[in-house]
Amino acid sequence: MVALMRVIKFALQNFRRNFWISMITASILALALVSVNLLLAVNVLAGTAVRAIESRVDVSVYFKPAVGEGIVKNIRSSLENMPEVRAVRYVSADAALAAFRDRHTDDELVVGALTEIGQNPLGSALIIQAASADHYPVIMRAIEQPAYQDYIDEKNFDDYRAVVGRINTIAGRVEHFGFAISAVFALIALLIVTNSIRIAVYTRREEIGIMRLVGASSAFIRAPFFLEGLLWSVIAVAATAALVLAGAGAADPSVARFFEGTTFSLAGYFREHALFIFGAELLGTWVLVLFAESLAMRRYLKV
Amino acid sequence: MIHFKGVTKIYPPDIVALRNVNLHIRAGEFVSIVGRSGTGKTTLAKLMIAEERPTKGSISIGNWDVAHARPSDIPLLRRQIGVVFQDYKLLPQKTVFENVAFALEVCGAAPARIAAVVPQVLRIVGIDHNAERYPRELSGGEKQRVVIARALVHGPKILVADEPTGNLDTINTREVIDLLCRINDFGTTVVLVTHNREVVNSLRKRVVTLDHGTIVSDHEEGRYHI
Repeated sequence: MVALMRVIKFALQNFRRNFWISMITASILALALVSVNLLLAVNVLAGTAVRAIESRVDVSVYFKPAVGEGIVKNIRSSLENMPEVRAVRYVSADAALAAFRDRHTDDELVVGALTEIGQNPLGSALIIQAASADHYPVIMRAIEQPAYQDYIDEKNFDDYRAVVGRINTIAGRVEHFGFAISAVFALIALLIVTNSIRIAVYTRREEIGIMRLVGASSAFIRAPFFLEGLLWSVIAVAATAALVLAGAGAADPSVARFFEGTTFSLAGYFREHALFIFGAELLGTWVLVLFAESLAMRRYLKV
Repeated sequence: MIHFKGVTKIYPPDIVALRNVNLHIRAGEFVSIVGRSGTGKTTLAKLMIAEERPTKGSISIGNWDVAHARPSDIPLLRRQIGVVFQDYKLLPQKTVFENVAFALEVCGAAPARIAAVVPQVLRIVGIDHNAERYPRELSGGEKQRVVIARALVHGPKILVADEPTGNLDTINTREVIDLLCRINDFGTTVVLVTHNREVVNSLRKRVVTLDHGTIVSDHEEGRYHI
């Protein structure tokens, strides 16, 4: 306990004596961490974009007006039993007509034509959503079976797969680029941390020499440096968390505009996963710092 | 107590500091290691505290095999050997008391022990009245007393003093040597590395003379003759 208190005391002493070196080191670490978080944000946004687009993909099957509700509901049941299908929504002929009227309420020509026909020209419809975008071909094959062809008037499938594919490609490229940037920052951080520790060891070489001379253990000499590294990591992660949360909060209105109709919030995502994200980053940073410190001390602390 | 058997130390690439040194120092002895500059005296002292490892041969101190000690054992060995250097090696931002206490602090001693031992050791070396002063406020002789106090604070069985009077005037030299003799009288083995002829001749104790890394003479009541 006494030894631990002294290690803490020496670590804080080191930190105070080399305050500006400590701040520069923590800043470089924070810069590396911000780049990692940017990469994470891009991944999360790309994933959200893909999900948003996938949720808009559906197959609309329009039945002939003469087809009875019972037949349509039978087809709906058989479709709902398919594992590839997530949901099937039934739109009755009346509901379809009401929706059509709503859409064309200002179009006198369409309203006049409907009045002239005197009856509902529209049939009922099924709106089918697949469990995954890859499942649409299977669903389309099921709909196209000969038994249904006499009932079906029209099928409408807006294929967003190309868009999804493109988003995934862009996200993948951004991810690769992000990894490269993060790796560069991590390398720079490693060099800076190694150098900072060397300076810290150099400025304390006399004290370290005396510690060795009077029988301080290697662990006792090294421990304050490791603790100082933890302090740098905590400051770097805290600064990163503040920057990332503020940045995500500032970006949220734009994100909301982009993902119209969804409740996704980037700041909310970071807040929700803060413990995991910043905890993992703290651990990762400390491991990086420990590695750099081991490199620096191997040369300067021959015990 | 201290055994050097066939010890050779070669610094890369081929600088021979010690050559086949055989030396036995008994417990409680006061031994002066003398010789010209560069004859291996300091290397001999460094080998005793495991700051250097021999290229060949073995060194044992008590039950310690110093030549082959594991790195984790070296701090324990150093707590049993007090070391005094010519250049003091005091921390300028610490007071006399703190400098001496530092040796105990870094070895995990309890605050109560530090509070009890440090004033006692400062009294022994006669520097207790300067406990709150900083090294820059002390004379060379006083600084060397602080260094000796720091070396004694662990209660070592051996005190190795490498040129402790190198920076001191005649009066301070005499005082420091008297202090080392008193420490020796308490039963501590003292190894004094020096090239100060007057000091060696006045001691009338064992003198080991080194020349070009080899022991050329070893006399129980020796004199400085090179």
